[in-house]
Amino acid sequence: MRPLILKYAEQIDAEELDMSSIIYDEEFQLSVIKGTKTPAFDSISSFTKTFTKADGEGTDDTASGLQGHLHTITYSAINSEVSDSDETRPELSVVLFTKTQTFTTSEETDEDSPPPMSLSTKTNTRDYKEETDCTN
Amino acid sequence: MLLIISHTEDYTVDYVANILNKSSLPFFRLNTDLLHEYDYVVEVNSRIHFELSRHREFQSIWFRRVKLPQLRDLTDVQNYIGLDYQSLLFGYICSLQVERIISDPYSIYRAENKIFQLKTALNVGFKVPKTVLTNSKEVLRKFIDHQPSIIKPIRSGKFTHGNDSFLIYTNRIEANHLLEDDLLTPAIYQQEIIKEYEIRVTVVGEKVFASKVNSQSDEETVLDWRRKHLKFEAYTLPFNITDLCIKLIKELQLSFGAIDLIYSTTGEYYFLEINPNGQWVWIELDTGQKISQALINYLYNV
Repeated sequence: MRPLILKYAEQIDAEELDMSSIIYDEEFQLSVIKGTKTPAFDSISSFTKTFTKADGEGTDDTASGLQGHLHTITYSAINSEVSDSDETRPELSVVLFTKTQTFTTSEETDEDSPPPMSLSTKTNTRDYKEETDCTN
Repeated sequence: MLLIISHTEDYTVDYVANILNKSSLPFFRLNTDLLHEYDYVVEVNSRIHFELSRHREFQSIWFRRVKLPQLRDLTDVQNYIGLDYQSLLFGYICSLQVERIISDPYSIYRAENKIFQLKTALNVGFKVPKTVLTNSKEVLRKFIDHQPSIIKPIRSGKFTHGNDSFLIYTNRIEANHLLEDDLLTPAIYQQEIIKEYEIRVTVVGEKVFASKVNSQSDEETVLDWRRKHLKFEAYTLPFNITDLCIKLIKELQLSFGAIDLIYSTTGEYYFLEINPNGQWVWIELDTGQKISQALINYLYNV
């Protein structure tokens, strides 16, 4: 027996986008171009200006590549718009729902027994190990 | 000050943080993947006092994404200790007294359930395609026989198997797809609505930004516009549909939502789903709609 829904699964190109030109900056609390303090998204606007002015000539490779990447990332993340980025570990929502239930019933959560939803979570994880989504 | 709950690879937050920095608006980005690196003190006396990374007071929260901290020295107990950190995080969020939040995580997780959101959309007055979820092949066959139908995942359609990555888009389902040895696990079966075009509505508080995509112009995107990156354009919704979008957000106790609608060839608007924490930067880049500014105005009460 095979789940019907999986007949519609399509293999996708899982090749990671190359974001090696950027790094998280603690001071500005955002990603910047490596070796600079230029916010990654600023490189997009400067690229756009350069491109417009030079009519397509003299574009900066880092900026143009990054423009595509950031635009793609903010678009492709629509394939996984859930709030829990750790799709292998949807326990967070389990924790929340368990807490809600606990508040409602005023019963203690039994730490030895898994919350009801975790049964299906574990089965699913065993069968289809989901990728951690770092992009959304 | 604004508290942003996210992780270091959330580029939507990068986009907004860049604007905040330029506007000299104060914020603290709490990266949940680095949660183990922050200093914290929780004192429980006559009341609970939380201090995380020396920050105590916030006026607003933008809850974006959570990720378990990557505990490199504790890989064997990564999940267990990681969840301890998440409990700390949610204790922190629940203990904060803020004036504004986009959106309450409890409401977000509840609203992410597609059955619940369909029910709520119907309640507020949206037209919704006929829908069934069942593990009965007889019920499913009758449903498919009755009208052209689609199948889509009950939640995220993204997963990996071994080293391969897969996506499940919305697909047409026909009677001959259903075989005796198929297992009916939870999935959504819906009446296929013949589309004129599709609309993505981004709601921030009571600000509504609608954008249209001509998904029917390309054979590949007839059933699911996510298959290709088509350009979105600004769109004006009729007043009554705008009103329904705001009502839906309120009913779900959210302050933000990305709603997917169909405009049918019969001239009707159908609700498909809502993403309570959906993406929107690409729409702003495509259409020029000032969604980021609306978000900032909401969070800073401007």
